[in-house]
Amino acid sequence: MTVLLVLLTFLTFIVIDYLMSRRRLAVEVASTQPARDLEVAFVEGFRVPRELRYHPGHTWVLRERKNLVRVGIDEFAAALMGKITRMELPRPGLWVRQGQKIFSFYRDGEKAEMVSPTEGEVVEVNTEALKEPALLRKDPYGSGWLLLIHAPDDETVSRNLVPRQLVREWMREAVERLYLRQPRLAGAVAADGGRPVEDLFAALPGESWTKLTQEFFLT
Amino acid sequence: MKFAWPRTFWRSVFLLVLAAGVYATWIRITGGLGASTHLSDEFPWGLWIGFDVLCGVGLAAGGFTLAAGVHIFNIRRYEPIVRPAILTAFLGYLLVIVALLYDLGRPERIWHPLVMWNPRSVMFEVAWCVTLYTTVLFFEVFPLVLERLGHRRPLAWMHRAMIPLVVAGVILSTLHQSSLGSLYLIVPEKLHPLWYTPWLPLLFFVSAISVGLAMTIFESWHSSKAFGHQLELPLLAGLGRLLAVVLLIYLTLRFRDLERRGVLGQAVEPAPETWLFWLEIGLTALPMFLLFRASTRRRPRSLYWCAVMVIFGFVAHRLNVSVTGMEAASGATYFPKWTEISVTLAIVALGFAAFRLAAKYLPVFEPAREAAEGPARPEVALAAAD
Repeated sequence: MTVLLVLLTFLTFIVIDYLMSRRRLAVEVASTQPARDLEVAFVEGFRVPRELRYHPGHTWVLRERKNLVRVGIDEFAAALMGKITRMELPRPGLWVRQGQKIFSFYRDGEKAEMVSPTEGEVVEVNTEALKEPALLRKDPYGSGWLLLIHAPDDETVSRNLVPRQLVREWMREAVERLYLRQPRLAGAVAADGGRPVEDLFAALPGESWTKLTQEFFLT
Repeated sequence: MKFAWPRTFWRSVFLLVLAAGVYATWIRITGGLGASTHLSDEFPWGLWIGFDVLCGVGLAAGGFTLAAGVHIFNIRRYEPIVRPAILTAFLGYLLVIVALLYDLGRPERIWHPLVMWNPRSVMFEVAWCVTLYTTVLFFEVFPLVLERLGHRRPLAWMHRAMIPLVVAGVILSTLHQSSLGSLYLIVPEKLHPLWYTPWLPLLFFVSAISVGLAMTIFESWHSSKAFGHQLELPLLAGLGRLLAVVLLIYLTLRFRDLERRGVLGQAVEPAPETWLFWLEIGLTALPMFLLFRASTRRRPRSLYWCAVMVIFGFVAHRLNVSVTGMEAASGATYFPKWTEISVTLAIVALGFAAFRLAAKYLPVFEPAREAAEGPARPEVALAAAD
């Protein structure tokens, strides 16, 4: 019975510690609000909120609190992909690495992938966005968020993101690179006061959706 | 401050456990083993040997397993988790020695085996190996202190001596991890057939490797949470796969041995030993099956719980050998006294606290700074000057 005494004693400690950390995480997750007022800046007509940090593969990360970050795709990526019909996200509990392909999007039988801007354990998935992929285009920085990630070392991984002072330049370069492929797009942007059209890909006849997204999303 | 209560909770638990341990120590010192334990002439080894020593030494095996992998087999990618594993091993061995002081009738004579040699005794070999290996671990941990203090020259010397030290550590560990099993080879009539086997040294050694890997995963998980370090999941997943293979080898040996000795039938007899035997096997086999699945290894929580099961299976085996398997033949029923439990808990709590302090003040989670950092620069400068 000594065996049971020892195992049960240590199991009690381990379970208490585990439940306490789960509960703390659950409280933290529940207390975060996806929609918040972000200070919006525009680069070539695309919204680029200043509070967010960006991965060069056009995903963003928002530090909700210590070790808890929200993740999504930026407006440029959402507009470039346009009318996606379905997407796949990693399940809660899965550990994702920075730069790992974790998002899959589908359009007309083609697949596009995007990478994680951070490293950590997925704690929540935006099921609303899964049900209604159009949210990504409507509100990529609000209701179109994709994951909540528990990132134990969010400071270290943030070093690999686009430096804050270079975000405008980085986004401008991406937009110009896209417009070089189809100059008509620049005109389409200007038509309604500088905002991009809903579906940029639709204005790029002859392009492969998968190849185009691979180039811009670094996949 | 809203979420500070878990830390406060664990600090309170630590202080309570420590207070009970101090009081139990007082009883042990003033009243002796009779007043502080439920041990007897019929049953002389209980929780302090079964858990604190037999399990403690095994649980600290991550140090030699990983050090051998990185420094001898040159699997450098595991380097980021070597330092915490070696620190865990060092603290583990120190605490094993502390625990032994409680169990020895005359603790002030703990040094006797070092000068009063009895080379025919397994215990003599264990005493020497544990002493030497603890010294080796000290020299493996000491570079952390030198790095912290910025003493580069002695650090360079230490790094040069690292490979011989690691080789010595692996040899010493192999010797005494198996010798702990050899201790029970002298009780073939007393130890239950489900656990007595001439293969005990081999089983103890293989199980020490498995629990060393499991402890590395366990420690990495808690360090990641406590210190906000990145979880080295790809590395831990690799360890998980290796762990599954080691567990398979262990279970194959275990059942091959039972079948070879013709005692497999006793594993289905209705007896308390049978239940505890299957508990031990279940806690080893279940994580093995789970760890062979890539999906388990990709999830930190699954990996963590598998490591916990492996550790529990290991503890169950060591306690079954040292306590459960000895009860029937001794004619005595042993259940630890509260003082024994308090001392054990206090020792474990001290281990956690010491690790936390060391991690706070020493560069445990930083990659090893090349000792050549100091001398290398002048060499480059000289080359340039030439």
